[in-house]
Amino acid sequence: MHLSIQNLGKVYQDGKTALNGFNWELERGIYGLLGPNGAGKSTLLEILSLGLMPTSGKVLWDGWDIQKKPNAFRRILGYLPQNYGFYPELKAWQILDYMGRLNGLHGRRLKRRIGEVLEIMGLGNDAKRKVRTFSGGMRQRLAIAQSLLHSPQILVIDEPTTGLDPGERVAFRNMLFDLGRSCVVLLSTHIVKDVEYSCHQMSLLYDGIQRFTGEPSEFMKRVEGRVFETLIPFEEFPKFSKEQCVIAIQERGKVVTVRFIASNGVHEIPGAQPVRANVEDAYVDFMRQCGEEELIDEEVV
Amino acid sequence: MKKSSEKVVMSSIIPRGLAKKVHRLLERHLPPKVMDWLSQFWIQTRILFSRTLILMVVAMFAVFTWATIKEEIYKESDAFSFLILQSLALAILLHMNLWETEREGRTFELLIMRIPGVNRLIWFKMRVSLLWNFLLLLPFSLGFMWFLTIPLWRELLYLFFLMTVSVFVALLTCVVSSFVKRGLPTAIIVAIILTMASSFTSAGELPAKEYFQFFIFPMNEWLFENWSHKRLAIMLIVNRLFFLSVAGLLYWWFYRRLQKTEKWIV
Repeated sequence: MHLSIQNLGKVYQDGKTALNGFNWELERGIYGLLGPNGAGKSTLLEILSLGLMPTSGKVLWDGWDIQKKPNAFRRILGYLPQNYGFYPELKAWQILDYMGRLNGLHGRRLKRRIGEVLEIMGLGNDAKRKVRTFSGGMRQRLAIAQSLLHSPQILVIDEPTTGLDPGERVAFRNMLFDLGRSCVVLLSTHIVKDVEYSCHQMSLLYDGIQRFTGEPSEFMKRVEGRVFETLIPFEEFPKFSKEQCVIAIQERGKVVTVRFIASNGVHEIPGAQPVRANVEDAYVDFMRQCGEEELIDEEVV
Repeated sequence: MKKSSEKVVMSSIIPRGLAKKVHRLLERHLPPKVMDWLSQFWIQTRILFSRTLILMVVAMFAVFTWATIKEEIYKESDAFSFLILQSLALAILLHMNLWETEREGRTFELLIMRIPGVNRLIWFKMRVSLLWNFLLLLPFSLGFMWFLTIPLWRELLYLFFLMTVSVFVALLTCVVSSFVKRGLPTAIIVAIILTMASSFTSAGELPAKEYFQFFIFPMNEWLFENWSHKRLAIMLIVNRLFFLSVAGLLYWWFYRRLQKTEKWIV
Protein backbone atom coordinates (compact mmCIF):
# COMPACT_ATOMS: atom_id res chain seq x y z
CA MET A 1 0.00 0.00 0.00
CA HIS A 2 2.19 2.82 -1.28
CA LEU A 3 1.27 5.98 -3.12
CA SER A 4 4.09 7.87 -4.70
CA ILE A 5 3.50 11.37 -6.08
CA GLN A 6 6.41 12.34 -8.27
CA ASN A 7 7.12 15.84 -9.51
CA LEU A 8 3.44 16.48 -10.17
CA GLY A 9 2.47 19.66 -11.96
CA LYS A 10 -0.64 21.18 -13.49
CA VAL A 11 -0.84 24.21 -15.74
CA TYR A 12 -4.36 25.16 -16.81
CA GLN A 13 -5.25 26.23 -20.33
CA ASP A 14 -5.29 29.89 -19.29
CA GLY A 15 -1.61 29.56 -18.33
CA LYS A 16 -2.16 29.52 -14.58
CA THR A 17 0.17 27.15 -12.73
CA ALA A 18 -1.97 25.45 -10.10
CA LEU A 19 0.60 22.90 -9.01
CA ASN A 20 4.35 22.81 -9.46
CA GLY A 21 6.71 19.89 -8.81
CA PHE A 22 4.82 18.22 -5.98
CA ASN A 23 6.42 15.14 -4.38
CA TRP A 24 5.11 12.96 -1.59
CA GLU A 25 5.38 9.33 -0.48
CA LEU A 26 2.32 8.00 1.33
CA GLU A 27 1.74 4.71 3.10
CA ARG A 28 -0.99 3.48 5.45
CA GLY A 29 -2.08 6.32 7.73
CA ILE A 30 -3.62 9.77 7.70
CA TYR A 31 -2.02 12.56 5.71
CA GLY A 32 -3.06 16.21 5.82
CA LEU A 33 -2.81 18.69 3.01
CA LEU A 34 -2.84 22.27 4.23
CA GLY A 35 -2.89 25.55 2.41
CA PRO A 36 -4.93 28.68 1.85
CA ASN A 37 -7.70 28.87 -0.75
CA GLY A 38 -6.27 28.68 -4.26
CA ALA A 39 -3.05 27.01 -3.09
CA GLY A 40 -3.57 24.00 -5.37
CA LYS A 41 -4.99 21.49 -2.90
CA SER A 42 -8.12 20.70 -4.86
CA THR A 43 -6.11 20.47 -8.08
CA LEU A 44 -3.82 17.89 -6.50
CA LEU A 45 -6.78 15.92 -5.19
CA GLU A 46 -8.55 16.02 -8.53
CA ILE A 47 -5.44 14.65 -10.23
CA LEU A 48 -5.27 11.88 -7.62
CA SER A 49 -8.93 11.08 -8.20
CA LEU A 50 -8.35 11.04 -11.99
CA GLY A 51 -10.64 14.00 -12.56
CA LEU A 52 -7.77 16.03 -14.04
CA MET A 53 -4.74 15.11 -16.09
CA PRO A 54 -1.40 16.42 -14.78
CA THR A 55 0.76 18.40 -17.18
CA SER A 56 3.92 16.96 -15.66
CA GLY A 57 4.97 14.20 -13.26
CA LYS A 58 3.17 11.02 -12.34
CA VAL A 59 1.40 9.22 -9.53
CA LEU A 60 2.31 5.62 -8.76
CA TRP A 61 0.27 3.21 -6.71
CA ASP A 62 2.35 0.21 -5.61
CA GLY A 63 4.65 0.96 -8.51
CA TRP A 64 2.12 1.33 -11.35
CA ASP A 65 1.07 4.59 -12.96
CA ILE A 66 -2.54 5.46 -12.05
CA GLN A 67 -3.03 7.40 -15.29
CA LYS A 68 -2.19 4.27 -17.28
CA LYS A 69 -4.58 2.04 -15.33
CA PRO A 70 -7.35 4.46 -14.36
CA ASN A 71 -10.08 1.84 -13.98
CA ALA A 72 -7.97 -0.34 -11.72
CA PHE A 73 -7.14 2.69 -9.57
CA ARG A 74 -10.79 3.75 -9.36
CA ARG A 75 -11.63 0.35 -7.91
CA ILE A 76 -9.39 0.98 -4.91
CA LEU A 77 -10.00 4.71 -4.58
CA GLY A 78 -12.60 6.35 -2.38
CA TYR A 79 -13.05 10.02 -3.16
CA LEU A 80 -15.11 12.68 -1.50
CA PRO A 81 -14.99 15.89 -3.54
CA GLN A 82 -15.34 19.32 -2.02
CA ASN A 83 -18.48 20.03 -4.01
CA TYR A 84 -20.85 17.13 -4.08
CA GLY A 85 -24.52 16.53 -3.59
CA PHE A 86 -27.12 13.83 -3.30
CA TYR A 87 -30.50 13.34 -4.86
CA PRO A 88 -32.60 14.88 -2.07
CA GLU A 89 -35.66 12.75 -2.63
CA LEU A 90 -33.82 9.47 -2.18
CA LYS A 91 -33.35 7.69 1.12
CA ALA A 92 -29.86 7.15 2.53
CA TRP A 93 -29.87 3.41 1.77
CA GLN A 94 -31.11 4.04 -1.78
CA ILE A 95 -28.21 6.40 -2.46
CA LEU A 96 -25.72 3.89 -1.10
CA ASP A 97 -27.37 1.11 -3.08
CA TYR A 98 -27.14 3.19 -6.27
CA MET A 99 -23.53 4.23 -5.70
CA GLY A 100 -22.53 0.71 -4.69
CA ARG A 101 -24.02 -0.78 -7.84
CA LEU A 102 -22.16 1.79 -9.92
CA ASN A 103 -19.01 0.57 -8.18
CA GLY A 104 -19.78 -3.01 -9.15
CA LEU A 105 -21.14 -4.31 -5.84
CA HIS A 106 -24.22 -6.53 -5.86
CA GLY A 107 -26.58 -8.60 -3.77
CA ARG A 108 -25.71 -9.65 -0.24
CA ARG A 109 -22.25 -8.14 -0.31
CA LEU A 110 -23.70 -4.75 -1.21
CA LYS A 111 -26.42 -5.04 1.42
CA ARG A 112 -23.84 -5.98 4.06
CA ARG A 113 -21.53 -3.12 3.11
CA ILE A 114 -24.40 -0.60 3.18
CA GLY A 115 -25.23 -1.74 6.73
CA GLU A 116 -21.58 -1.60 7.76
CA VAL A 117 -20.76 1.87 6.41
CA LEU A 118 -23.98 3.30 7.82
CA GLU A 119 -23.04 1.90 11.23
CA ILE A 120 -19.47 3.22 10.97
CA MET A 121 -20.83 6.66 10.19
CA GLY A 122 -23.45 6.53 12.92
CA LEU A 123 -26.33 6.61 10.45
CA GLY A 124 -27.67 3.14 11.19
CA ASN A 125 -31.00 4.49 12.38
CA ASP A 126 -31.35 6.97 9.52
CA ALA A 127 -31.05 4.56 6.60
CA LYS A 128 -34.72 4.98 5.68
CA ARG A 129 -34.78 8.75 5.94
CA LYS A 130 -34.76 10.96 2.86
CA VAL A 131 -31.54 12.88 2.36
CA ARG A 132 -33.36 16.22 2.24
CA THR A 133 -34.22 15.78 5.93
CA PHE A 134 -30.55 15.31 6.87
CA SER A 135 -28.48 17.96 8.64
CA GLY A 136 -25.20 19.18 7.10
CA GLY A 137 -23.20 16.85 9.33
CA MET A 138 -25.35 13.85 8.47
CA ARG A 139 -24.96 14.55 4.75
CA GLN A 140 -21.21 14.75 5.23
CA ARG A 141 -21.20 11.41 7.01
CA LEU A 142 -23.33 9.90 4.26
CA ALA A 143 -20.88 11.26 1.70
CA ILE A 144 -18.01 9.58 3.48
CA ALA A 145 -20.09 6.41 3.79
CA GLN A 146 -20.54 6.30 0.01
CA SER A 147 -16.80 6.74 -0.51
CA LEU A 148 -16.13 3.77 1.80
CA LEU A 149 -18.68 1.40 0.25
CA HIS A 150 -16.26 -0.52 -1.93
CA SER A 151 -13.62 -0.84 0.87
CA PRO A 152 -11.08 1.48 -0.78
CA GLN A 153 -7.36 1.23 -0.10
CA ILE A 154 -6.88 4.94 -0.60
CA LEU A 155 -9.33 7.56 0.59
CA VAL A 156 -9.07 11.12 -0.71
CA ILE A 157 -11.21 13.65 1.13
CA ASP A 158 -11.49 17.31 0.20
CA GLU A 159 -12.46 19.74 3.00
CA PRO A 160 -14.49 17.16 4.93
CA THR A 161 -15.11 19.04 8.17
CA THR A 162 -16.38 22.28 6.67
CA GLY A 163 -19.87 22.87 8.05
CA LEU A 164 -19.60 20.32 10.85
CA ASP A 165 -20.29 21.34 14.44
CA PRO A 166 -17.52 20.75 17.04
CA GLY A 167 -19.03 17.46 18.22
CA GLU A 168 -19.34 16.13 14.70
CA ARG A 169 -15.80 17.25 13.96
CA VAL A 170 -14.42 15.26 16.90
CA ALA A 171 -16.47 12.22 15.86
CA PHE A 172 -15.14 12.61 12.34
CA ARG A 173 -11.54 12.68 13.56
CA ASN A 174 -12.10 9.49 15.56
CA MET A 175 -13.58 7.85 12.51
CA LEU A 176 -10.56 8.94 10.45
CA PHE A 177 -8.26 7.37 13.03
CA ASP A 178 -9.97 3.99 12.51
CA LEU A 179 -9.80 4.34 8.72
CA GLY A 180 -6.15 5.32 8.79
CA ARG A 181 -5.24 1.95 10.25
CA SER A 182 -6.43 0.08 7.19
CA CYS A 183 -5.87 2.47 4.29
CA VAL A 184 -4.11 5.59 3.02
CA VAL A 185 -6.20 8.62 3.95
CA LEU A 186 -5.39 11.94 2.33
CA LEU A 187 -7.24 14.82 3.86
CA SER A 188 -7.27 18.28 2.39
CA THR A 189 -8.38 21.06 4.67
CA HIS A 190 -7.80 24.62 5.76
CA ILE A 191 -8.82 23.76 9.32
CA VAL A 192 -5.41 23.42 10.92
CA LYS A 193 -6.65 21.67 14.05
CA ASP A 194 -7.91 18.73 11.97
CA VAL A 195 -4.39 18.17 10.72
CA GLU A 196 -2.82 18.66 14.14
CA TYR A 197 -5.13 16.18 15.86
CA SER A 198 -5.50 13.49 13.26
CA CYS A 199 -2.64 13.42 10.75
CA HIS A 200 0.72 11.81 11.25
CA GLN A 201 2.17 13.65 8.25
CA MET A 202 1.29 16.88 6.56
CA SER A 203 2.22 18.82 3.47
CA LEU A 204 1.82 22.52 3.02
CA LEU A 205 0.98 24.10 -0.29
CA TYR A 206 1.22 27.76 -1.13
CA ASP A 207 0.65 29.15 -4.59
CA GLY A 208 0.97 25.69 -6.12
CA ILE A 209 4.35 25.08 -4.51
CA GLN A 210 5.04 22.51 -1.82
CA ARG A 211 6.54 24.48 1.08
CA PHE A 212 6.76 21.87 3.81
CA THR A 213 6.32 18.11 4.15
CA GLY A 214 6.77 16.22 7.38
CA GLU A 215 5.23 15.54 10.76
CA PRO A 216 3.03 18.21 12.35
CA SER A 217 5.35 18.24 15.40
CA GLU A 218 8.25 19.05 13.10
CA PHE A 219 6.25 21.87 11.53
CA MET A 220 5.52 23.26 15.00
CA LYS A 221 9.25 23.57 15.70
CA ARG A 222 9.44 26.63 13.46
CA VAL A 223 7.68 28.66 16.19
CA GLU A 224 8.84 26.81 19.28
CA GLY A 225 9.90 29.29 21.95
CA ARG A 226 8.39 32.21 20.04
CA VAL A 227 4.73 31.92 21.07
CA PHE A 228 3.68 34.04 24.04
CA GLU A 229 0.68 35.32 25.88
CA THR A 230 0.44 38.67 27.54
CA LEU A 231 -2.05 41.10 29.01
CA ILE A 232 -2.10 44.55 27.49
CA PRO A 233 -4.41 47.53 27.92
CA PHE A 234 -7.19 47.62 25.34
CA GLU A 235 -6.09 50.96 23.82
CA GLU A 236 -2.57 49.64 23.16
CA PHE A 237 -3.80 46.70 21.09
CA PRO A 238 -3.89 48.42 17.65
CA LYS A 239 -0.22 49.42 17.98
CA PHE A 240 0.69 45.98 19.34
CA SER A 241 -1.01 44.13 16.52
CA LYS A 242 1.00 46.11 13.97
CA GLU A 243 4.29 45.12 15.60
CA GLN A 244 3.61 41.48 16.45
CA CYS A 245 1.94 38.55 14.74
CA VAL A 246 -1.25 38.15 16.78
CA ILE A 247 -2.79 34.68 16.81
CA ALA A 248 -5.68 35.12 19.23
CA ILE A 249 -7.22 37.84 21.34
CA GLN A 250 -9.59 37.70 24.30
CA GLU A 251 -11.16 40.75 25.90
CA ARG A 252 -11.14 40.94 29.71
CA GLY A 253 -12.59 44.24 30.81
CA LYS A 254 -10.13 47.03 30.13
CA VAL A 255 -7.33 44.66 29.17
CA VAL A 256 -6.96 42.00 26.51
CA THR A 257 -5.15 38.67 26.59
CA VAL A 258 -3.12 38.36 23.43
CA ARG A 259 -1.48 35.23 22.03
CA PHE A 260 1.24 36.21 19.62
CA ILE A 261 4.34 35.07 17.82
CA ALA A 262 7.28 37.24 18.71
CA SER A 263 9.27 38.06 15.66
CA ASN A 264 12.17 39.95 17.27
CA GLY A 265 12.56 38.39 20.73
CA VAL A 266 10.24 38.54 23.68
CA HIS A 267 12.29 40.85 25.92
CA GLU A 268 10.77 43.91 24.31
CA ILE A 269 7.34 42.96 25.69
CA PRO A 270 7.27 43.03 29.49
CA GLY A 271 5.17 40.38 31.23
CA ALA A 272 4.85 38.08 28.18
CA GLN A 273 4.74 34.41 29.19
CA PRO A 274 5.91 31.65 26.84
CA VAL A 275 3.19 29.14 25.95
CA ARG A 276 3.17 25.81 24.15
CA ALA A 277 3.07 26.29 20.39
CA ASN A 278 0.64 24.43 18.16
CA VAL A 279 0.33 23.80 14.43
CA GLU A 280 -2.01 26.73 13.99
CA ASP A 281 0.67 29.09 15.37
CA ALA A 282 3.22 27.66 12.97
CA TYR A 283 0.75 27.90 10.10
CA VAL A 284 -0.04 31.56 10.79
CA ASP A 285 3.67 32.33 11.06
CA PHE A 286 4.30 30.48 7.83
CA MET A 287 1.54 32.33 6.01
CA ARG A 288 2.86 35.65 7.27
CA GLN A 289 6.30 34.74 5.96
CA CYS A 290 4.86 33.76 2.58
CA GLY A 291 3.02 37.07 2.43
CA GLU A 292 6.23 38.96 3.20
CA GLU A 293 8.15 36.99 0.55
CA GLU A 294 5.47 37.83 -1.97
CA LEU A 295 5.73 41.50 -1.08
CA ILE A 296 9.52 41.38 -1.50
CA ASP A 297 9.11 39.61 -4.86
CA GLU A 298 6.66 42.26 -6.03
CA GLU A 299 9.07 45.00 -4.96
CA VAL A 300 11.92 43.31 -6.82
CA VAL A 301 9.76 43.04 -9.93
CA MET B 1 -45.26 20.55 6.63
CA LYS B 2 -44.38 20.25 2.98
CA LYS B 3 -42.83 23.36 1.51
CA SER B 4 -44.31 24.71 -1.69
CA SER B 5 -40.87 24.84 -3.32
CA GLU B 6 -40.32 21.11 -2.99
CA LYS B 7 -40.22 19.22 -6.24
CA VAL B 8 -42.96 16.80 -7.20
CA VAL B 9 -41.55 13.32 -7.08
CA MET B 10 -42.77 9.96 -8.19
CA SER B 11 -42.45 8.48 -4.74
CA SER B 12 -45.40 10.56 -3.60
CA ILE B 13 -47.76 8.65 -5.91
CA ILE B 14 -46.41 5.21 -5.07
CA PRO B 15 -47.88 3.51 -1.98
CA ARG B 16 -45.55 3.41 1.02
CA GLY B 17 -43.57 0.20 1.22
CA LEU B 18 -44.56 -1.02 -2.23
CA ALA B 19 -41.29 0.03 -3.85
CA LYS B 20 -39.34 -1.85 -1.20
CA LYS B 21 -41.43 -5.00 -1.62
CA VAL B 22 -40.96 -4.91 -5.38
CA HIS B 23 -37.23 -4.29 -4.89
CA ARG B 24 -36.90 -7.36 -2.64
CA LEU B 25 -38.93 -9.53 -4.98
CA LEU B 26 -36.89 -8.52 -8.01
CA GLU B 27 -33.61 -8.96 -6.20
CA ARG B 28 -34.58 -12.51 -5.28
CA HIS B 29 -35.40 -13.51 -8.85
CA LEU B 30 -33.27 -11.42 -11.18
CA PRO B 31 -29.54 -11.73 -11.97
CA PRO B 32 -27.35 -9.02 -10.36
CA LYS B 33 -26.54 -7.32 -13.66
CA VAL B 34 -30.23 -6.91 -14.53
CA MET B 35 -30.90 -5.69 -11.00
CA ASP B 36 -28.13 -3.11 -11.35
CA TRP B 37 -29.62 -1.87 -14.57
CA LEU B 38 -33.12 -1.69 -13.09
CA SER B 39 -31.84 0.19 -10.07
CA GLN B 40 -30.05 2.71 -12.27
CA PHE B 41 -33.11 2.97 -14.49
CA TRP B 42 -35.37 3.61 -11.49
CA ILE B 43 -33.16 6.31 -9.98
CA GLN B 44 -32.60 8.02 -13.32
CA THR B 45 -36.34 7.88 -14.00
CA ARG B 46 -37.07 9.60 -10.71
CA ILE B 47 -34.54 12.30 -11.54
CA LEU B 48 -35.94 12.65 -15.05
CA PHE B 49 -39.51 13.14 -13.89
CA SER B 50 -38.75 15.25 -10.86
CA ARG B 51 -39.83 18.36 -12.79
CA THR B 52 -43.53 19.09 -12.78
CA LEU B 53 -43.32 20.65 -16.23
CA ILE B 54 -42.35 17.37 -17.89
CA LEU B 55 -45.21 15.46 -16.30
CA MET B 56 -47.68 18.21 -17.24
CA VAL B 57 -46.65 18.36 -20.89
CA VAL B 58 -46.69 14.57 -21.25
CA ALA B 59 -50.19 14.46 -19.73
CA MET B 60 -51.30 17.30 -22.01
CA PHE B 61 -50.04 15.42 -25.06
CA ALA B 62 -51.95 12.31 -24.00
CA VAL B 63 -55.22 14.18 -23.52
CA PHE B 64 -54.81 16.13 -26.75
CA THR B 65 -53.97 13.04 -28.80
CA TRP B 66 -56.88 10.96 -27.60
CA ALA B 67 -59.27 13.86 -27.97
CA THR B 68 -58.30 14.60 -31.58
CA ILE B 69 -57.12 11.29 -32.94
CA LYS B 70 -60.51 10.26 -34.36
CA GLU B 71 -61.79 13.74 -35.17
CA GLU B 72 -58.82 15.41 -36.88
CA ILE B 73 -56.34 12.84 -38.12
CA TYR B 74 -57.45 10.72 -41.06
CA LYS B 75 -54.21 10.33 -43.02
CA GLU B 76 -50.85 8.77 -42.27
CA SER B 77 -49.05 11.99 -43.22
CA ASP B 78 -51.08 13.97 -40.66
CA ALA B 79 -50.36 11.36 -38.03
CA PHE B 80 -46.67 11.45 -38.84
CA SER B 81 -46.54 15.25 -38.64
CA PHE B 82 -48.16 15.05 -35.24
CA LEU B 83 -45.78 12.32 -34.08
CA ILE B 84 -42.77 14.34 -35.26
CA LEU B 85 -43.97 17.28 -33.24
CA GLN B 86 -44.45 15.04 -30.25
CA SER B 87 -41.07 13.41 -30.70
CA LEU B 88 -39.41 16.84 -30.82
CA ALA B 89 -41.23 18.09 -27.75
CA LEU B 90 -40.50 14.94 -25.75
CA ALA B 91 -36.81 14.95 -26.66
CA ILE B 92 -36.48 18.59 -25.61
CA LEU B 93 -38.47 18.10 -22.41
CA LEU B 94 -36.62 14.99 -21.32
CA HIS B 95 -33.18 16.40 -22.03
CA MET B 96 -33.39 20.07 -21.13
CA ASN B 97 -32.75 19.30 -17.45
CA LEU B 98 -30.91 16.01 -17.86
CA TRP B 99 -27.49 17.41 -16.98
CA GLU B 100 -28.74 20.47 -15.17
CA THR B 101 -30.18 18.25 -12.41
CA GLU B 102 -26.77 16.66 -11.86
CA ARG B 103 -25.01 20.01 -12.01
CA GLU B 104 -27.45 21.78 -9.72
CA GLY B 105 -27.61 18.88 -7.27
CA ARG B 106 -23.78 18.65 -7.38
CA THR B 107 -24.05 14.91 -8.03
CA PHE B 108 -22.04 15.15 -11.23
CA GLU B 109 -18.66 14.73 -9.53
CA LEU B 110 -19.75 11.63 -7.66
CA LEU B 111 -21.10 10.13 -10.88
CA ILE B 112 -18.04 10.84 -12.96
CA MET B 113 -15.91 9.23 -10.26
CA ARG B 114 -17.90 6.02 -10.54
CA ILE B 115 -18.54 5.96 -14.25
CA PRO B 116 -15.08 6.23 -15.74
CA GLY B 117 -15.00 7.89 -19.12
CA VAL B 118 -17.19 10.63 -20.52
CA ASN B 119 -18.58 8.30 -23.21
CA ARG B 120 -19.86 5.89 -20.61
CA LEU B 121 -21.36 8.71 -18.56
CA ILE B 122 -23.25 10.07 -21.58
CA TRP B 123 -24.50 6.59 -22.43
CA PHE B 124 -25.42 5.97 -18.78
CA LYS B 125 -27.64 9.04 -18.61
CA MET B 126 -29.03 9.13 -22.13
CA ARG B 127 -30.03 5.50 -22.48
CA VAL B 128 -32.67 6.02 -19.80
CA SER B 129 -33.95 9.32 -21.16
CA LEU B 130 -34.10 7.96 -24.72
CA LEU B 131 -35.83 4.81 -23.54
CA TRP B 132 -38.47 7.01 -21.89
CA ASN B 133 -38.66 9.02 -25.07
CA PHE B 134 -39.46 5.79 -26.91
CA LEU B 135 -41.89 4.50 -24.27
CA LEU B 136 -43.85 7.76 -24.26
CA LEU B 137 -43.96 7.84 -28.03
CA LEU B 138 -45.10 4.24 -28.31
CA PRO B 139 -48.74 4.49 -27.14
CA PHE B 140 -49.47 7.39 -29.49
CA SER B 141 -47.79 5.69 -32.37
CA LEU B 142 -49.61 2.42 -31.68
CA GLY B 143 -52.84 4.38 -31.34
CA PHE B 144 -52.43 5.78 -34.85
CA MET B 145 -51.57 2.33 -36.15
CA TRP B 146 -54.78 0.98 -34.66
CA PHE B 147 -57.09 3.75 -35.84
CA LEU B 148 -55.55 4.27 -39.28
CA THR B 149 -54.81 0.57 -39.86
CA ILE B 150 -51.13 1.11 -40.67
CA PRO B 151 -49.22 -2.13 -41.35
CA LEU B 152 -46.70 -3.19 -38.72
CA TRP B 153 -43.60 -2.84 -40.93
CA ARG B 154 -44.54 0.77 -41.71
CA GLU B 155 -45.22 1.38 -38.04
CA LEU B 156 -41.76 0.09 -37.12
CA LEU B 157 -40.20 2.29 -39.78
CA TYR B 158 -42.07 5.28 -38.39
CA LEU B 159 -40.75 4.52 -34.92
CA PHE B 160 -37.20 4.16 -36.21
CA PHE B 161 -37.35 7.52 -37.96
CA LEU B 162 -38.96 9.20 -35.00
CA MET B 163 -36.29 7.87 -32.67
CA THR B 164 -33.50 9.07 -34.94
CA VAL B 165 -35.10 12.51 -34.74
CA SER B 166 -35.26 12.16 -30.96
CA VAL B 167 -31.58 11.23 -30.72
CA PHE B 168 -30.59 14.23 -32.80
CA VAL B 169 -32.77 16.65 -30.82
CA ALA B 170 -31.63 15.09 -27.52
CA LEU B 171 -27.98 15.70 -28.40
CA LEU B 172 -28.72 19.23 -29.56
CA THR B 173 -30.55 19.91 -26.28
CA CYS B 174 -27.64 18.51 -24.27
CA VAL B 175 -25.14 20.72 -26.10
CA VAL B 176 -27.28 23.82 -25.60
CA SER B 177 -27.91 22.96 -21.93
CA SER B 178 -24.18 22.70 -21.32
CA PHE B 179 -23.89 26.38 -22.26
CA VAL B 180 -27.20 27.77 -21.01
CA LYS B 181 -27.41 25.60 -17.87
CA ARG B 182 -31.12 26.35 -17.22
CA GLY B 183 -33.89 24.11 -18.50
CA LEU B 184 -36.48 26.50 -19.88
CA PRO B 185 -34.09 28.82 -21.77
CA THR B 186 -32.43 25.68 -23.18
CA ALA B 187 -35.79 24.46 -24.49
CA ILE B 188 -36.56 27.85 -26.08
CA ILE B 189 -33.16 28.07 -27.79
CA VAL B 190 -33.43 24.51 -29.12
CA ALA B 191 -36.91 25.25 -30.46
CA ILE B 192 -35.57 28.35 -32.26
CA ILE B 193 -32.63 26.40 -33.73
CA LEU B 194 -34.94 23.64 -34.96
CA THR B 195 -37.39 26.10 -36.49
CA MET B 196 -34.55 27.85 -38.31
CA ALA B 197 -33.03 24.56 -39.48
CA SER B 198 -36.32 23.19 -40.77
CA SER B 199 -37.31 26.44 -42.51
CA PHE B 200 -33.88 26.53 -44.17
CA THR B 201 -34.16 22.99 -45.49
CA SER B 202 -37.72 23.50 -46.72
CA ALA B 203 -37.21 27.01 -48.15
CA GLY B 204 -38.20 27.68 -51.76
CA GLU B 205 -36.68 25.62 -54.53
CA LEU B 206 -33.54 24.54 -52.73
CA PRO B 207 -31.88 21.91 -54.94
CA ALA B 208 -32.11 18.39 -53.53
CA LYS B 209 -33.37 19.78 -50.25
CA GLU B 210 -34.90 16.42 -49.33
CA TYR B 211 -31.43 15.02 -48.80
CA PHE B 212 -30.71 17.49 -46.05
CA GLN B 213 -33.98 17.62 -44.15
CA PHE B 214 -33.67 16.55 -40.57
CA PHE B 215 -37.18 15.26 -40.16
CA ILE B 216 -37.96 13.74 -43.51
CA PHE B 217 -39.84 10.48 -43.84
CA PRO B 218 -39.21 8.21 -46.85
CA MET B 219 -42.85 7.24 -47.24
CA ASN B 220 -43.93 10.81 -47.71
CA GLU B 221 -46.87 10.71 -50.15
CA TRP B 222 -45.46 13.41 -52.43
CA LEU B 223 -42.16 11.59 -52.68
CA PHE B 224 -43.94 8.34 -53.43
CA GLU B 225 -45.89 9.92 -56.26
CA ASN B 226 -43.03 11.87 -57.83
CA TRP B 227 -39.90 9.87 -57.21
CA SER B 228 -38.73 6.50 -58.46
CA HIS B 229 -37.93 3.75 -55.95
CA LYS B 230 -34.23 4.00 -56.80
CA ARG B 231 -34.16 7.73 -56.18
CA LEU B 232 -36.10 7.20 -52.96
CA ALA B 233 -33.58 4.65 -51.75
CA ILE B 234 -30.66 7.00 -52.50
CA MET B 235 -32.45 9.84 -50.77
CA LEU B 236 -33.09 7.69 -47.74
CA ILE B 237 -29.43 6.69 -47.43
CA VAL B 238 -28.02 10.18 -48.05
CA ASN B 239 -30.54 11.74 -45.70
CA ARG B 240 -29.71 9.36 -42.87
CA LEU B 241 -25.97 9.71 -43.48
CA PHE B 242 -26.37 13.46 -43.25
CA PHE B 243 -28.38 13.08 -40.07
CA LEU B 244 -25.78 10.73 -38.58
CA SER B 245 -22.94 13.13 -39.34
CA VAL B 246 -24.75 16.05 -37.71
CA ALA B 247 -25.66 13.91 -34.69
CA GLY B 248 -22.05 12.68 -34.49
CA LEU B 249 -20.79 16.24 -34.58
CA LEU B 250 -23.15 17.22 -31.78
CA TYR B 251 -22.06 14.20 -29.76
CA TRP B 252 -18.39 15.15 -30.18
CA TRP B 253 -19.15 18.72 -29.15
CA PHE B 254 -21.03 17.59 -26.05
CA TYR B 255 -18.29 15.10 -25.20
CA ARG B 256 -15.73 17.92 -25.32
CA ARG B 257 -17.96 20.08 -23.09
CA LEU B 258 -18.24 17.33 -20.49
CA GLN B 259 -14.51 16.72 -20.55
CA LYS B 260 -13.98 20.26 -19.33
CA THR B 261 -15.86 19.47 -16.16
CA GLU B 262 -13.95 21.97 -14.06
CA LYS B 263 -15.44 24.74 -16.20
CA TRP B 264 -18.84 23.17 -16.65
CA ILE B 265 -19.66 22.12 -13.10
CA VAL B 266 -18.86 25.40 -11.40
